[in-house]
Amino acid sequence: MSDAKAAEFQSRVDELKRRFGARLRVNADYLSALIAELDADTNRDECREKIRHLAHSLAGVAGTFGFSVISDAGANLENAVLDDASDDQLRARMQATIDTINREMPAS
Amino acid sequence: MDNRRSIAVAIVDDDRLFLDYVGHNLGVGTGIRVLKMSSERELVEAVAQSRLDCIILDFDLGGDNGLVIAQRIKARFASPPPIIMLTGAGSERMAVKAFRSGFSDYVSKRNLNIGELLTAVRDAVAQWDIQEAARSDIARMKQQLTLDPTTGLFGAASMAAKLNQLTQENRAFTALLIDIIDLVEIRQKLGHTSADEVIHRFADRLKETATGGDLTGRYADDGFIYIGENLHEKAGIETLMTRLKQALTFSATIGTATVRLAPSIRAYGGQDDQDPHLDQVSTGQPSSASDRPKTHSASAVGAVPSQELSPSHDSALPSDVAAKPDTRIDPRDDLRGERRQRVLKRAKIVDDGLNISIDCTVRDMSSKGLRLRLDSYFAPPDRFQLMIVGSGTVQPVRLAWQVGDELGVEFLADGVSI
Repeated sequence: MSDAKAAEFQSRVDELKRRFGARLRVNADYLSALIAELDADTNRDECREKIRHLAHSLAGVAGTFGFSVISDAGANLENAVLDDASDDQLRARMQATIDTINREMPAS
Repeated sequence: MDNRRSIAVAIVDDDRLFLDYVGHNLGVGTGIRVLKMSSERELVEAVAQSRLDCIILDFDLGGDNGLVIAQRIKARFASPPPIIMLTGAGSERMAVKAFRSGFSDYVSKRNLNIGELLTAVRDAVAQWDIQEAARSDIARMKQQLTLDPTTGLFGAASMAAKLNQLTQENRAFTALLIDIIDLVEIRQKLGHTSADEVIHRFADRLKETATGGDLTGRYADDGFIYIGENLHEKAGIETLMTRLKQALTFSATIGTATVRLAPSIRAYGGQDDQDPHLDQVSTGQPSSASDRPKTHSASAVGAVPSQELSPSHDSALPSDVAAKPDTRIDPRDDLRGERRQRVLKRAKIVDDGLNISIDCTVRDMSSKGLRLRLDSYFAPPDRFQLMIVGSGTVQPVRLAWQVGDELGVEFLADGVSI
């Protein structure tokens, strides 16, 4: 690959990573909203499924973009849902995932 | 110098950003052409157009499950490209499940290494190329066989040779070209394995119906040919066609579906080029047969009919020959006595054996069972759990019938409510 093409390739990779970083911050906000939804206790099963789906996505995708710590946090959270952890345990895992995202992706 | 052939790969994932990222990394400087897709529908279209050498399929594709999608692809297409499963839930258990379901490889999304994915794609394509070459060899050998291995009838090459011989010797004969009406639809709805079974049953009937020195065999891909020597009187040909039509119109139970079959029959005469023995006639109105060029069938067996016969005149035919046959796929429990109550509820088929669940809709119910509609084709096990979304009710049920995307299930417990 020529230098120009390599630079173009890397530029596109960087752009996709930047967009993923922005999405992670949205994911952290969504997790906060889901904690509130869990507290409200309106539809427990539906809320847990939303949490599992988001956690599954974080676990699967974050590592690909180079955020393996966030991927691990997502995997821990997904396992908590799959293991039918208590609401308190789930809240703790969710908060830990939010903290990890904030630490890895500080607001610019 | 890199002699590897170019490879077209479909990546199917509902996460657009992930798709862009992996597609970009996989498609630059690797000789791989990446097609990014987000749904099963797009994937099916691409496979149907034979545009793909490999598929990378996300396990968790929105509401669908990658195992089920792969199963549907394999049921629908006789020789689909290799499929690599991509999943966020990396585990040994999942890998075993993927291999048992016929996936070529399994790659975890978690901390995905593009180089690893690239290697998996190249290995899968190389393996598939070897298998495809073997399949082509077998197909070539089958073409040369005297007998068609699927049906036991004479093969296309044998029938072509016979037609050539009759033509060269200027002998009187009639060739009837026979197709199974709606075979394309049957293949789409029930999969190619069931379609092969249909062809097999149809061939058995045809074999039983042949009389005297008449020959039955295959032509083209899915067609049959019946050659009657010394058969050239119009009345005799019509009688034979009526008899064939009656014998080849029947119901066959294939797995959990009952398929009603009927033939499309066209006649070609031999010997007298100037004075055709009969009009070209057809029974039924199959789209596949009527759309086909008239000379295609004959040239497919290597012989040109002595005369392309003129279009049919249904009035010249016995009424039961001219009528469009009632070809359809019927559920087994059409004769149920109890009135069913209409229902519209989301549910999940839970297969404990495969540890998967399939989304479906409950369409109607009685005290004995339910009618379910799947989002698309799936072959469920004989018994499974049905979970009603919302109420959380779980009922053990038994599969009573399946037609395409619709299932009939019977409750295994009494006094059931959903």
